Amino acid sequence: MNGLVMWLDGQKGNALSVCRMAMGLILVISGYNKLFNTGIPQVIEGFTNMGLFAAPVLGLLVPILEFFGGAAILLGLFSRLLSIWVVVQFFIITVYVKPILIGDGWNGTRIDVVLACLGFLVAAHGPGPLSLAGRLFRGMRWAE
Amino acid sequence: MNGLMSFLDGQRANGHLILRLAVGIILVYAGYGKLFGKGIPGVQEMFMQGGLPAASLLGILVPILEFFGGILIILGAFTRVLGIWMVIQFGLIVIWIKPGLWGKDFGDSFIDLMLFAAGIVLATAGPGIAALGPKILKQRWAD
Repeated sequence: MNGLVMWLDGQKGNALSVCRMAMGLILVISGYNKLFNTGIPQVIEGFTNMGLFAAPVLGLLVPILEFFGGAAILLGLFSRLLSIWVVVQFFIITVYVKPILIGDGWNGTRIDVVLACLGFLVAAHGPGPLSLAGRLFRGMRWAE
Repeated sequence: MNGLMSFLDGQRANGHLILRLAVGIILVYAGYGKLFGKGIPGVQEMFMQGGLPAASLLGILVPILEFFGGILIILGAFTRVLGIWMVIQFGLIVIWIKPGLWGKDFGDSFIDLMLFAAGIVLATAGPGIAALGPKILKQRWAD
């Protein structure tokens, strides 16, 4: 059992890379759907109907950030800074946009809760060993 | 910028704690719904219709593991072992049970992919701070 635990200890960095890539993949797909399937005007309309503040700005910003930010997170570029945005966005979604935490609503909100938590983890730890920042911007911690 | 990075570095332990709590709550809630909402026979039937092997066995195991495993993850005991179970269960769900990974329905698999990733973190990094396992059991495999 100790051998297994030691092997697991050695995989911590890779675990972060997997987390980061899973998070990035989900963001890219959500952003892609908003940009190319739903379309910006419909996203803005949806946000307006939800009663979000600054819906026209957010309706443009969120899809772009999700798609390009998600791609950068997936590749491991600026993943710590972008993860701060992930934490902020999905924390706001959890407590303010979809504040239904009990009952069937939870099944719609739990994904946002996990995204906020994994974002927190990536912001705190950085991108893990497999990242573009580690290759391109060696020694520049803010680019991690 | 360096101040921000140092601040973020200092949040690592907290990050593991909140991930553990969120994952535990999600699993307990999912297990509770299966055990007391749908009921074991309903879950077995659902698994059977999904074409799962050993549906009657899995229909008992999965709800129990989700409910009690989730409680243990919240408390911070056996998190590494339970993390391995999560990697297996949610990995199978993403690859094999809900294989619409690239289609329109990918949104359905988002939560399973996230729980798969969270399982990897729990298995490799253990429970983090404020965990019962390391305090009471004092065996690394029981962390």
